[in-house]
This record gives sequence, structure tokens and C-alpha cells, in this order.
Amino acid sequence: MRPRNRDRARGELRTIATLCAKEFAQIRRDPLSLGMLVALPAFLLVLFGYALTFDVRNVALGVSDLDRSAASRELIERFARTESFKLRWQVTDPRLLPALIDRDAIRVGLVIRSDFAARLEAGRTAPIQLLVDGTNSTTAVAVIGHADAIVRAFTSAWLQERSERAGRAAPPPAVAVEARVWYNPELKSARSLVPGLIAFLLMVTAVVATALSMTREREQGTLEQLLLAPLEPHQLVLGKTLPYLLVAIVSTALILLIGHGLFGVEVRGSLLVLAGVVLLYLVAGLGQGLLISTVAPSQPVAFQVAILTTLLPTFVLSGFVFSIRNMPPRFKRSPTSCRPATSSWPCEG
Amino acid sequence: MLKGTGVAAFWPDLGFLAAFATLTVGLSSVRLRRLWHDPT
Repeated sequence: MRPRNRDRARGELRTIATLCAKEFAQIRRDPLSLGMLVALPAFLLVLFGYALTFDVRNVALGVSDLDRSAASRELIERFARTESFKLRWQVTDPRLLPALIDRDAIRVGLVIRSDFAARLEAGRTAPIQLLVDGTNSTTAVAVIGHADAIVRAFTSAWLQERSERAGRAAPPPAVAVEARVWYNPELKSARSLVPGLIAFLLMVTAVVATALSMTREREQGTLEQLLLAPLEPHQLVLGKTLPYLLVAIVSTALILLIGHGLFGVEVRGSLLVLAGVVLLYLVAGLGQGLLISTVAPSQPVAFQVAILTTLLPTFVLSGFVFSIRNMPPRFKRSPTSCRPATSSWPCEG
Repeated sequence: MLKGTGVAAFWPDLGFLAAFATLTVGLSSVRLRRLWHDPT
């Protein structure tokens, strides 16, 4: 490089660094920006990791055992032993169970007929009734699945016991399922939520923080001063976005570390590929934020537009919470800048 | 065990991201150029 070109490049870098330093000072002084960049990611990570879960646990169960036999008690015991159900009510009249569901005292009611054990002994089908509160359809489907698995295990154990009592070997089951859960063997929802949360938080923080930066200058009347300064447009853009890019990169590293430390989510793929994808993702987010900041007339408007255009697509349409495969075809390729994040990040628990 | 390894699996999404980034940065530049002349 020629000395004149080198001086020019050095001067340019110095100008951008000065602008970055000014932006960092502004971030430090502005509680809204600081809160968006630091407090929100930490709060959401802890909230989603610990409190919000899709796991179905401790579903309140009410039982009406009309048989009162060893077999019926064994079945109830199997329900009560699992983490999925918590035995809350035992009633003598099965007609009370709908009322309990109506009062929200239980979510599932189990009715065992008076001839339950007799039918089992006679080798006949012994029907049991399961009343499920369907107001939350996701929980209801999971509950039916859990109940089905418990009843199958009970039936299989009971058939084996009966065969042993009769002194002959138990017949092998016609079909036996041997499930192997890959990628998330314990089926913990935190392990699927945390990687998605990284994308969610990055998009929200990058867009919102950048959206406020230029609007703030306009609102406070300092943009004119910036324009009077010996700056080129691209220096202004770089000086305005680089600080947020740096903050977002630090934020990514922190989320990955917290995810690994608290929830056991680790990156097993190439860190380099992940860094490249994150960088591209952040450039897209920063570009969106910058665009909003050049259009919005005030900070509250910029904030609302940024939240609306990031929160909705990232949270609802990205596959983070609701599966994209289940959406109608026209929604499947919806223009959400964050779609790749939750569907194809090389993160694994 | 890894799921979806290999950059090949991401190409469509990466292309979408790159296009999105180019569009937003390009539009921002246009807007900034206007602001440059009329910062009010």
C-alpha cells in the first residue's frame, strides 16, 4: 500500500473508531438501550430456560375406582408414580369428575369400572374411561399419549404375571416399539428452546438497539451536527452499526456460555460455521434496524416498529414455538428473517 | 450426535439472509443519503 493510501485508511479507521466510542458512550448513558442489550437477553434466557416449558408434568388427576381390586389399585399406582400425573382426587361417584374438571381442580379423570379385575381375569377387554380437559389441546394430546403408554405397560405386565401364575411362558407382544430419541434423549424442552432463544434474542436486541440509534440523533437534533462533521455516509453507517455488532457478538458468546453452563446445551458442530452464520444473521438484523431508524420519526415509533417486525416473525413464524411443517403452505415460506435460526442451527444438547 | 450438519443444508436459508441483509442495508443507504441532504 502506498504511504498516502495508508494514511487515508488509517484516518478513516480513526474516524470510525471515534464514532464507535461516541456510540458506546451513548449506549452507556441511555437506560433503554442498555436494558435492551443486557437485561432483556439475561431475563428471557432464565425465563425460557427455567420457567417456560412445554414438558407435560404434574397434570392433576382425579380417579373414580369402582372396582377397588388389586388390579385397579395397581393401575392407579402406575399413573400416580409417573412425573406426568399427580393424583389429586379420589371420588366414589364418577359423575363428580366432570364437575372437578369444570372447576379446574383436575385436568384428567380416570374411571375404572366395577368389573375391571373380573374382566381381566376372564381374558376379556376391560375398558377404562379417561376424561381429558381439552382446553389446552397440546397438553391434552400429550396426556392421552402418556396415559396410553401407562395402560400398555400395565397390560403387558399383567399378561406376563397371569402367564407366570398359570405356569407357562408369557406370549411375546405382536409388535414391540423400541424408541430411540436422538439429539435430545431426555426430551427436555429447554434444549430445544435455548438454541432458538439465541436467534430470538439476537434479532430483537440487534434490531431494536440499532433502530433507536439514528432516530435518537434526529430526535435530539444532533444528526445535523454529525452531518456537519467531516464524515462520509459509509463512515457514519459503520460507526453507528459496529458498536451494536460488537455488543451482539459478546451477547451471543454469553448466551452460548450460559446455555452450556445452566442448561447443558452445547455446540457440537463447527464453531466457525456458527460464527459465520451468526455474523450474517446479525448483519441482516442490523440492516433492518438501520432501515427502521432512518424511517421512524421518533424513538417510541422506532421501538414499536422494531419490536413488531422482530418479535412477531421470530417468535411466531420462525418455528421457534410453532412448527413450520404444521402451517398451511402459504405460511411455510413466510418472509421471516429469522427462520434459519431455529430450524437449522448446529446446536445440540 | 449432530443434526443438520454441513453448510449445504443451510444454503437456502443463508441465501435468504444474505438477500435480506443486502436489501435492508441498501434501502438504509438510500434513506441515509436523503437524510444527508434533509436531516429534519
